[in-house]
Order: sequence, then C-alpha cells, then structure tokens
Amino acid sequence: MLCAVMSTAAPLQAQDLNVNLFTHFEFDNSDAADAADRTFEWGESALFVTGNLTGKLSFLGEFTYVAPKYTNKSFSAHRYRLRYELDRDNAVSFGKMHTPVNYWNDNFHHGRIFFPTINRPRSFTRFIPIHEVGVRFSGMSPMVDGVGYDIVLGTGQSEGDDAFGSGVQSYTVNFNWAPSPDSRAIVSYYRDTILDHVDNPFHAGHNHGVGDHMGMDHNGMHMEPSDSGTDLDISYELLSFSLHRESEYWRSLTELSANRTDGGDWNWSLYQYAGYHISDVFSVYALYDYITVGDSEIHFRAGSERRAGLGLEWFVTNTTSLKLEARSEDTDQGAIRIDDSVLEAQLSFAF
Amino acid sequence: MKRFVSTIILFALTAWPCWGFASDMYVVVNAPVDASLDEKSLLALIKGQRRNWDDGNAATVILPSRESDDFELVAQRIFGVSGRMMQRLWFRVVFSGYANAPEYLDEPSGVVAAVADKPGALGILLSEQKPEVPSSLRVVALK
Repeated sequence: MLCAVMSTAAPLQAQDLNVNLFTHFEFDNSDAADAADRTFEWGESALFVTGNLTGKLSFLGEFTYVAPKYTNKSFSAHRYRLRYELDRDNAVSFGKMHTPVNYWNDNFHHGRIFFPTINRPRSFTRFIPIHEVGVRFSGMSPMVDGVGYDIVLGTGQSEGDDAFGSGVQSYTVNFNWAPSPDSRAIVSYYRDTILDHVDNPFHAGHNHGVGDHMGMDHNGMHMEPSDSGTDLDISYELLSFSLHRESEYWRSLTELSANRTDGGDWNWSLYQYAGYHISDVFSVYALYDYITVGDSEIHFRAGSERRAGLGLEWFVTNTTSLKLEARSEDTDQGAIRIDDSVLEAQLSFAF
Repeated sequence: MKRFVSTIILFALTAWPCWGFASDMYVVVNAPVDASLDEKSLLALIKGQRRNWDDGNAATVILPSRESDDFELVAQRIFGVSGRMMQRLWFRVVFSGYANAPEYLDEPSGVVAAVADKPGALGILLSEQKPEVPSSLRVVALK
C-alpha cells in the first residue's frame, strides 16, 4: 500500500523521509512501435524522494531509469531541489525542477500511475520546457483563498543542467487559482532564448515524427549537436492555460498553449481529457490531442499532429493501474505522413 | 418475527450513516504558540492547500488510513469525496512537491498520541464529546 509506504516517516521532523518507486510496462501495436521493436516495453522507472532537513527546509528528488535497450542514457536526475519556507505563504526553491508552465508538468511526476492518459500531451515532446535549473519563488495570497503565483528564473533549455551557464536565460510567471482541492486553473507565460538555434537540439521538434508512446519522451529530444556554422540565438515564448476539475464522478483536464519563436506566428496545441468514474476503481475516458505549427516557423517542423481516442482505467489495487486505449493518430508534416490506429495498454505500479 | 427482525436490520443499516455523522469533528493540534487556529486555516492545511504554520514551519497532517473506521467519514465530511479520492488528492499534492506526505493512522485512538509526538502535527478526531488531550496540545471543534 502506497499509504503504508508513505506513513513510514520517522518521528523526528528533521529526518522525515519518504521514498517511492514507480514503474510501468506497455503494449503498443502501432506501426512506429513495431518498427522500433517496442511492441512490448518496460517503461521508465522513477525513484521519488521527499523529506525535511529542518522545519523550513525540505528537499525533493526524482531519478529515473530506462532500460539501455531504449536509450543512450539509462539513469537521469529529473528533479533535485531544496525549498525554503520564507513564511506561511511564500517559499523559495533552488535546483532542477519541473517548470510550472501548466497543470500536467507541475502536478505529475514521471511515474505513470497518476497520468490521466497513457501518454503525455504531444506538446510535451516538442514545446513544453519540462525541466529547468533555476530559482523558483512560490506563494499563495494571504487575502484570497486558493490564489497563488510562481516565478522562475532559469538557466534555459539550451544550457541543460549547467546551472546559469549563460546567466538567466528563461523566465516563467504563473498565476494559479484552486477554489477547491480538486480544481485548479493556471495561466502562465514562459520566455527563453534558444542559443545557436540551428544547431541546438533543445526544443527542436524536427527530430520527432512519432509519439512518446514509443518511449521518446523529452529524453529523446536531445539530439547530438550539429555544427552548421551559424550562431543565431532566437527567442522562444510559450503561453499556457490549464484547467483541472475532479468530482466524485467526473474528471477533466484541459491543456491549451501557444508558442512562437523569434516573434513569429503562434503555433497551437490542445490536449483535452474527460473521464467518468464508473466506480471507485473503474473509469472511462476520452482524449483529444492536437498540435499545429505554421509554415512560417523557423525552428519547429511545420505541420500538424492529432490523436483522438477512448480509454479505460482500472485501479487493480490502490497502487496498480491498468489503462487501455484505442486511438487514431494522424501526422502531417510534409514528407512525414502517418495515419494509424493504435491499441495501447499500460500497467503501472507504485511501491 | 422474521419480518420484525428484517425491519430492525434495515433500520440499523439505514441509520448507521446518521450515527456516524452524529459525532462531532475535532482537530487536535501540536502547533507553534502563535499559530492561527481558526477553522479556515486548519482546513486549508488538512486539504493540502497550505503546507505551513504562520511562522513558515511545516505542518504534518495526520489522516485516517484505509483501515481506519474514520476513513470514509473524514473524506466525506472534510473533502466531500470518497476515501479513495481523498487519498489520490493527497498523492497529487505530495508528488507535485506542494506539501510533505501526510501520516496515516489505522486506529482513531492513536491520533492524540501521534500528534503529541510530532511538533507541527495536526490530526482529526470524530467524537461525541471534546477529547481530552495533554496540555501541550490544543483542540479545535469543526462546525
């Protein structure tokens, strides 16, 4: 029982430690998975550690392992951050963290058991700056219940984990409102500079024609750098809106975002999930996921991707979830055209 | 006679939830001296909407586990959802890094001792009368 694991905290506050392990297995009958010999796959495993060092200083770490068959980098440190509480409502964090640009990225860790659908939204493989090394100021309004903010000064995606290697390159501002524990709305603005954008693999979607159901999550974004001889830096902006709502019977999540590079035209993405809890353990859901990139775009590959499907989620136990999804997937990116029907299953565990 | 027994059983089953709700709800608190202990502040901590006492020190929420008799009642009366939903909600709070993990107790009778053992802790008790606690703790009745 996850609750039992979580209740093993030692009585001394300064030594509180919570450790959880998450892993999952997938079956995917898509043409892309078949071509990559990934029909059956052991997915990403995540070790999640939280605890207090003092009453006001806490830490959070998240480390993942992917079988060497699927990646060049099996072990990854996705989050490691210290958080200091300035007062009741405000805190400052430092380290590598998930950028608070939308609900999904701010609320879900790498373990799949709490994902509403089998895969992340498609925008995560191309547009969303998932991690950032930086300083984060977080807070809640003492005046209005549930209203909060986040401000992140970051290293930027181009420098990776090299903390402030080129100074502060990215800025995130987030306003959020949670009128109840089950509801949250987020509006955010993110700005980064993509250094040497022609040769820089970060953010670059031109290496992606398939979904992360093949395991090509954001780790797969990091292509080997090339050298075109150019040295052009461009701006990257992302506007996001998230709305999450859950009741005894219904759950919905909307992730809407627009992004642009170098002040050009906006590219759009929409992810919509709507689920109905048939019982405590069974839910049925529908998903729609769409991104479009304009022809004038200079950094991302132009074109569109669309996924739509129906799914069933079964909490076999409190710490074991089975999801089944039937989807249609269409990709139209010039030379890359995919039209596929996919049946995918995911069995995820928490320990 | 058979019909009479059936009526008694049916009455007992339908009245049971009312008996449970007849208990008052109290929060037992081991908080810093100057902490705000109004109902609104305590509920925000219990629901994971805030994580700290007024001085910035972390609060530790003690919740009934799935094995506890109070599991569903606390979920319904404080969160307005089922016990499972309450647990999933807290998992999300923890894994997003918003708050530290709560502690879960199987036995309601252990709440006072658990709160007393941990500075900054607060736990929920269902009781027909205000519980007696050590002098270092305070008790707040929820409406």
